Amino acid sequence: MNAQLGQDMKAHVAPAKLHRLRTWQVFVLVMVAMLFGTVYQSPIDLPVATHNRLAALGITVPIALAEVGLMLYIMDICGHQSLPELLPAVTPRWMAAAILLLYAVVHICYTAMAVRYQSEGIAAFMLETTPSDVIGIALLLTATFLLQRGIRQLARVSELLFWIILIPLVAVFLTAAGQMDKGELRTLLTVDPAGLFHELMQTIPLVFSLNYIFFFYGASKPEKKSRGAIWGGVAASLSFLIAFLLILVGTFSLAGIARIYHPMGELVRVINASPYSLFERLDLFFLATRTMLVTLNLAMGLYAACRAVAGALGLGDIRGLLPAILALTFLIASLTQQIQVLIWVRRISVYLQWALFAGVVPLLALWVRIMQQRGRML
Amino acid sequence: MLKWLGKLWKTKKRRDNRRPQARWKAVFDDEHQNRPIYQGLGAYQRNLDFFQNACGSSHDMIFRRIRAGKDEVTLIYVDGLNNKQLLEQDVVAPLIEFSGETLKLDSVLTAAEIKSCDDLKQGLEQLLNGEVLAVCDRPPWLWVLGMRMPPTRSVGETQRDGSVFGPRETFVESIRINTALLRRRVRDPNLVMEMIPIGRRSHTGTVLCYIRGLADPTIVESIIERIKAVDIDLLNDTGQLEQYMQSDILTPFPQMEYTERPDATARALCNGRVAILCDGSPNALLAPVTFAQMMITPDDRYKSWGVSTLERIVRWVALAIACMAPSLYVAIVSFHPGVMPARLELVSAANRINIPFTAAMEVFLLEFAIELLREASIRMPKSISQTLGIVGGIIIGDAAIKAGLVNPLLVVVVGVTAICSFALPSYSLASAIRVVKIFILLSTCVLGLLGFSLSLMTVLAHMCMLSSFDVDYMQPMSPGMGAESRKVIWQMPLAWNQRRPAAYRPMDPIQQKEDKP
Repeated sequence: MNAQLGQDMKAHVAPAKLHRLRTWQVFVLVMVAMLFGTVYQSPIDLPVATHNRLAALGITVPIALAEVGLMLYIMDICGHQSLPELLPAVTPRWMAAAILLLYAVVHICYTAMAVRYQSEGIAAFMLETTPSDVIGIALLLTATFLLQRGIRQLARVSELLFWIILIPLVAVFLTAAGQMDKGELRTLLTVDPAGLFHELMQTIPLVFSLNYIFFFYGASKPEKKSRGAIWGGVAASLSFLIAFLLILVGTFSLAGIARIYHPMGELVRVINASPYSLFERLDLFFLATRTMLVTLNLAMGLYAACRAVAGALGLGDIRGLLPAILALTFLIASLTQQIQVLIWVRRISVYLQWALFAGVVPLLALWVRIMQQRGRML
Repeated sequence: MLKWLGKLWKTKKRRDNRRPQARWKAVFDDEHQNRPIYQGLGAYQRNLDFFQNACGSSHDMIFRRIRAGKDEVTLIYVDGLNNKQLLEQDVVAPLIEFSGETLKLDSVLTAAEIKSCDDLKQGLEQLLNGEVLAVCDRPPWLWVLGMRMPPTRSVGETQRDGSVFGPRETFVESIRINTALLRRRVRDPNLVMEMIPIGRRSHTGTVLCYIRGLADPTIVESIIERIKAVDIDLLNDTGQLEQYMQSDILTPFPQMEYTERPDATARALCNGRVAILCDGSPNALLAPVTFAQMMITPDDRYKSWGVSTLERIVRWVALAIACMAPSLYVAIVSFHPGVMPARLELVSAANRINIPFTAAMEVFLLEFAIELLREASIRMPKSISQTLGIVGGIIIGDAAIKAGLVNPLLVVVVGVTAICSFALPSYSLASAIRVVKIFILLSTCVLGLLGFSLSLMTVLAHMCMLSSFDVDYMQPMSPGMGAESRKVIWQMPLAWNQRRPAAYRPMDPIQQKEDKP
C-alpha cells in the first residue's frame, strides 16, 4: 500500500457508516405509517365523521399520543431500544414473549385486513377481471421485497416516494377545500353519548399505525431529533386526518358519506367536474399512489410482526421468519373474504390493541419506575 | 514377445508425436517467478540467450549488435513500439562513435530515460512494453532505455460525451497521453497516479488517479484492493475492469461512471473521487458514483445556473418518460381506457380498430424494432448509416402504420421514449433504463396500473440497496442530505458553490470561498 496513503488513513478517520435511521426518515415513516393508510381506508374503517366518531377520535387521539410519548420515554431511558429488546430486559421472559406475541397477532391481523381492503378496492375500481387474491399476493410480495435489507431500506424508499405522493394529495385537499359547504360542519357539534363506547372501538384502527414506532425506534439515531421527528410526523398525520374528515363532511354531508366506497376517488371526481377535461379519471392514479402507500404500510406491518415474533423467540434475524409471517398474513387475508371471518379478525385486532393500549404500556411504565427506584436501573 | 514390444514402441511414438513440441511450450509458466540477471564470465551470451529463447522467434523482435569501442552491446526492441528516429540518433550513433576504453551507457547515451535493470523478467516486461533493452558485455549487464512510442491515434473530439460548451478533447488509447492530459488540467503536486499492471498475459498498465488529501483513503484503499483482486488473462478496456470491480454484479445499474473527457475526469478528481485509466482504452472509470451524479453533465458548470437548472429538469423528465411512457400507454389503452378524456379515447379507439395486435404486443414489436435500429446503427459503415436510418425510422415506420400493423399514437410514444433515452448524459445509465423499462412493461402487461406501481417501487427499492464503494447509490436523495438534495435539480451559481459533494466524503469539503452578493 502506498505509504503516504497509509498515513492519510491514520490521520483521517472516515465517518462511521450510518446504520441508523436519520431523523427525516423517521418522520417520513411515521407519516406514511399513520397518515396515508388511514386517509385512504375502505368504508368499514372509513373515518366517517359522525358526531360520535369525531368525539371518539377526540378521546382516542390524546390517549394514543400519551402512549407514544410514554413508550418513547421508557425506550429512551432503557438505552434507546425498541420494544422487542426492551421487554425481555424489564419483564420476565415468559411475560415479554406473551406481550410480543400478542403484538404480533395484532400486526398480522391488521396487515391482513389492509391486504383485503386494498385488493378489494383495486379489484373493484382498477382490475375488474383479476381475482383479489392475485392482487393480494402481488402486494405482499412487493412488501416483502421492500424489507429485504430491513427497515433502513424501507425508510429510503419512503423518503423517495414521499414528495411524489404528498404533493398531489395536498393539491386535492386545497382544491376540494374551496368547494365544501361550511354549513355541513355544524352537524359535527352534536354528540350522542350512547354510542360513544362503540365508536371508540371503531376509531382505534385510525391510530393503530403508531404502534409501528415501537418496533423501528431502536433503528433510529439516539437523539432528541428522532423524537421530534416522530412527534412532527404524528402531528402532521393527525392534521391531515382531521382536515380530510372536515373536507369530506363539507363536500358530501354526513348522510352522503355513508354511501361512498372510495372517499378520495369521489373527492377527486368532484374536483374534475368537466367531462372532457384531461384529468377526467384522476382517481385511478390516486388509487395507484394509494397502492404504493399501502404497500409501504404492509411492509411496516410485516416488519413489526416479524420483529415481535423474533423478540418473543429470542431470534436475532427477522428474515428467516418473513416467509412464515407472509404466508400466515395471506392466509388470513384470504379467509377474510367471508364477512364473518373479517368481523372476527377485526375484533381480535381492535380489542387486543385496546388491551395493549390500556394495559401493557401503563404497567410497563409503572414497572420501569419501580425498577428505577429500587436502584436496578437498566 | 518381439511383436508385443514393437506395438509398445509404436504406441510410445504416437504419444510422443501428440505431445507439444518444445517450441510450442510456454517459456514462462510461472509468471510470478523472477529471474535475476546472469553475472560473471559468459554472462553476456547467457543473458542474450534468455531473450532469444523468450521471444527470438517473433519476427518483430529485433536483435541488433553494435560494437562500441572494445565492448559489444546488443540492442533488443520490438519493431513498431518505439521511436526509431530517436533510437538511431540518441542510442545507435553515440554507440558507434564511442571509442573509449570502458563503456558506461548512462554516460555515453543522450536518451532521456536510461536505467539499469538486474532482473531478466522485468527486463522482458519492459521490452514488451515498448522500451529498448541494451545487453552489455560488462556490468551493469542490462539497461532499459525509455524510447516507447506505440502507435496511437491523436487526441480528437469526443464522440459520446458531446457538449455545446467546454473542451472537446478526449482520451485516447495511449495511457501516457491520457495521464498527460490529466496532468495538464490538475497541476496539483498531490495528484497521485499509481500504476498497477493487470492481466496475466496482457500486463495492461492501469493507472489509479486520485488527489492525496482530498479523496477518502478508505475509498481509495477499497478500489486498490479490488483492482489487485482482478485476475484475468487479457484486459482490453475499462469496461472489463468495471465488471470485475463492482459490488453487485447482477444489477443493470452502473456502479462506476464512464467518461472519455479529461475535463470531466479532472472535475471528478477535484470532487474527491478516483479515476482509473487503462492502457489501450479511451475511457476513464470514475468511482464512486451516485445515481444523481450520472444525470449531471460537465457542461452544467460552463453555463449559467438558470440554463443548467432547466436542462437538468428536462433530463429528469426525460428519464421518467424513457422509463415509464410505454408502460403507461399499455396500462391506459389495455386496462384503464376510461382514464383518457372522452375525445382522446375515441381517437385512440378509431386508430386501433384495425390493428391485429394487442397494445402490449404492439409495444414489444416497436421496442424490438428500435433496439434493432440501435444495434444496426452501431455496426453500419458511416457512409450508409444516415440513409439506412431514414429508411428504417421513417419509411418502415410509415409503411407499418399504413399497413395497419401499428397505431400511430404508439409510434409517437415509442419515438419520444427513444429520444428521451438518448437525452440522458450517461450511456451506461441509458442502457440500464432500457432494461428497467422492459421490467416495468412486463409487470404492467400483467397487472395494469397496479403492476406499474409495484414494479416502480421494486426498482426504487433495488436502487436503494445499491452502493458504489461504500457510497450509497441514491445519495443525496436518499438518505436525504439537506442542501445537497437540492443540488440534484438546482445548479447552484458557481460563486456560491462552496462545498464539494458530501456523498464522496472528501477530506477537504471546502472547495472555494463563498462569495454571495
